[in-house]
Amino acid sequence: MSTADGPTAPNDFDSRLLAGGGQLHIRQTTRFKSVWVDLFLPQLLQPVAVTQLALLSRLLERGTRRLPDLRALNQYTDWLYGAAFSVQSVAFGPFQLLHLHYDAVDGAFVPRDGDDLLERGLGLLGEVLAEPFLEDGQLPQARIEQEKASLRRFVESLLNDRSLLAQRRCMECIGADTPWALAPHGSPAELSHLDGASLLSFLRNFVIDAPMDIYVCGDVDTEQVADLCVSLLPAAHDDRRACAEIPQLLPLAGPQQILESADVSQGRLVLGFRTPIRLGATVAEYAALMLMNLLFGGDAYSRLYNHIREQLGLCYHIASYLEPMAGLLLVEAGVEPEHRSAVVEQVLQELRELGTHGPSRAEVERAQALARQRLDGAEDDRESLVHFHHARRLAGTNGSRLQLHAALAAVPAEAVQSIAATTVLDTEYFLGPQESA
Amino acid sequence: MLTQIHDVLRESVVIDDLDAGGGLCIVPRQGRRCHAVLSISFGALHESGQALGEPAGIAHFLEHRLFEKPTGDIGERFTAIGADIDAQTGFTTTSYSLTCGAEVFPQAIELLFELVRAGHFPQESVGRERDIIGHEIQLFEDNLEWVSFQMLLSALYPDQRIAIDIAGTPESLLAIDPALLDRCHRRHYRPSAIQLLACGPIEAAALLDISNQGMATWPEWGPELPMPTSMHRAKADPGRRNATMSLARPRRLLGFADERPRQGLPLMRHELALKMTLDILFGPGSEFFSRHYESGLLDGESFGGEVHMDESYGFCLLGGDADDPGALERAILEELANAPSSNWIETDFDRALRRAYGDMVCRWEDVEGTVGFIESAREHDCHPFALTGLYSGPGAIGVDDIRRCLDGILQPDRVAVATVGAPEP
Repeated sequence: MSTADGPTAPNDFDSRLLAGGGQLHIRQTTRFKSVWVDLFLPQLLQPVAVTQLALLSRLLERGTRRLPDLRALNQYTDWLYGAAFSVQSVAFGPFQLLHLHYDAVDGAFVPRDGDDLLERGLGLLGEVLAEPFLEDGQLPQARIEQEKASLRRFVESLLNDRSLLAQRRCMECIGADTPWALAPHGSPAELSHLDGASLLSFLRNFVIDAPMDIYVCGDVDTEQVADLCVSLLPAAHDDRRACAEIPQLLPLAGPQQILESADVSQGRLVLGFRTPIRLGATVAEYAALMLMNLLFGGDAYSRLYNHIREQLGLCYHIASYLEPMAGLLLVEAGVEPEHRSAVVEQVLQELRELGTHGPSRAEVERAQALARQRLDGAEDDRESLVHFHHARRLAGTNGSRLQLHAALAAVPAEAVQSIAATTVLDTEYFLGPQESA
Repeated sequence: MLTQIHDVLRESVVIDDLDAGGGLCIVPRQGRRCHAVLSISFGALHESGQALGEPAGIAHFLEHRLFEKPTGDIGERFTAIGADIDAQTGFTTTSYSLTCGAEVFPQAIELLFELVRAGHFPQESVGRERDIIGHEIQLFEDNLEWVSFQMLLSALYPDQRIAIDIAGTPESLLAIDPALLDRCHRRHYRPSAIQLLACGPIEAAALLDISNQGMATWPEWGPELPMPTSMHRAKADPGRRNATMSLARPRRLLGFADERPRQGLPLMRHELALKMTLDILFGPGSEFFSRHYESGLLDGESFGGEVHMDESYGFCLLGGDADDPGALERAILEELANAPSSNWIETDFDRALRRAYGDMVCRWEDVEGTVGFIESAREHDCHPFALTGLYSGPGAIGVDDIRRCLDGILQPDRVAVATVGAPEP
């Protein structure tokens, strides 16, 4: 069978600065059957502006000058062999990203007329940003009202997913009074202040001022893509502004405990810990944090899974994950109220144990194997590749997959132990059934 | 070993029988990752019932417990070589799936056969598993997608096995013990029930060898039971069901059962036709979608349709969250009533077919999607490339297939309705 020795290229993307101020990142590959385009425009999460951009992301999906309504736009992408098109407001750390995505089958795999699917896609993204549908020079009032109502409904429906709700509430508590607390869908209370004129003015300025990153992955001609981006995407008059510095969380005042209740069948526990490492740290430090998370709770056979689920049978789901920009490690579990204290105590005990005695060699090796395999596998997964690269651009760091792959192999058990020993609980959040609170 | 090449997709498919029984289907290609699914044709609908020693949920229980071996949890041995392992129990299959780099794929496949080959069921861990699955069932009671889907099954097929949770009920779990698990494993995990499906940088001949070795020392299997009635085609008796859950607004799903037995390529053709019918009438490019999105009746995030087709059941569902679920239901049924006399099918057919074709090509894009595609084809005894013939050429789907969906399954007076939310006044 063939072998793979890890990522081979030092960088996953061929990057260049475009006339017009955007950064273009191209991955030329014959591995896929479609071509993906992702365009990001970030701003720091901040009150009012967050709601403005969230509402705009919905209005931009409603139509352009050429494709004036929802049906025209959706039928257009259907004719492009079911091309996917979306505009979303998403958060990454303290940033809100306006994310435009387009993907369509590579023209080589369609029976006819597939040659210009990429050009049409880039053209569509350009139109959406620069030529949204207007009536008398303004965003149509009826659509603004529809999308305000739709955004309100969306925010209300977030309550339907209890796990996400608990994770969201925990982040709000940890990041109180900072951008970290804000969600990318904004606040319904701010919607009533937003009118068409201010939204359009905000949009016009944002598309030419915000730092723009464009990722194109597929079997493409690099020079042709660069030319298409310059001719089809909005250009800045002057330099685009630089990405904002990453703000800090407020100093830790001591562990806080927040108990809330809702109509849930099973409680949701989220424990937020502060670690000493962030995405902007050295590649070696971040590699140690990744391993620490994996063997503590991030892997299916981690300490938390083995001990709390398999040995004690206290819950079905327990796992940890990282919020890399803030250097947070979060543990999430579905827990009955009567087991909450026991689960919290066991998680803290496992962390103390890891900080005092460190991981076994076998644990480190297993986490290394898994992390390196996933890093290798990302080569077949464009979403992961784009996320890996763009996250590091936002964090102002340059580590490549190749460097991280090498660094993972060199992490000593002591580095994992040292992170565990200096990781402290910030917030215990519990969303319990109504009678338990 | 039969290899076929598809010129447009630029893919090849290798199919062979395994020496001990069962089959192998591989899509070899360049890349970093390998993905494989070992599928056993034993799912919740095969459970013969408590009287015959197979209480509801035993297929799923067995899937969980097979990970425990006398030397410990075999899952740790997968992760030790950098392989991700997962498992899932469905209505008619139990699937064990692994993802890993090419260099450890042979080892991971050996482990995969070891995982399913023999059971080890100590009393104490069976008791603990019952608690864990109890927690799992409770966790899903808060999951709107799951609750609404389950309610729709109850509305379509009241009192039949398909309408009961695949994981069983707290009561049925109490009846499961080590002896039943062992007997169930020996009955159903027989070589002839196994299909191995794989995609990635794989040498087909080497994988065939490893698979044959992996199955060479299979434990003796028990006598096969007659097919349980739950595997006979589920008989629809559409009605209305409600579940209470605290939501921002209710979710209403409409379901339509396909009562005509189908198999093989005709089944997959019907599945595609039904998906296209829902797309033409209610998809994002339909007049219905834009009209009711703009009026606020329909919620763009949650509204949509699904099609589920198998030899032992067949249904589609449609709906979403709505402030006025009654009005949404009436609008959908009115659209269906008007569709046969309209020309929407003719005017939108080509658009829907192009969309479906693009979706099909993209399913061949990553290793997981590709294995999902070939798994679905092999489950219905089709060659994966036979499905691509549904999109173009002499065997392609046509307007008549869509019209048959409107005249057959999508009858407004045969609708089942499930609502999740606050109780209706």
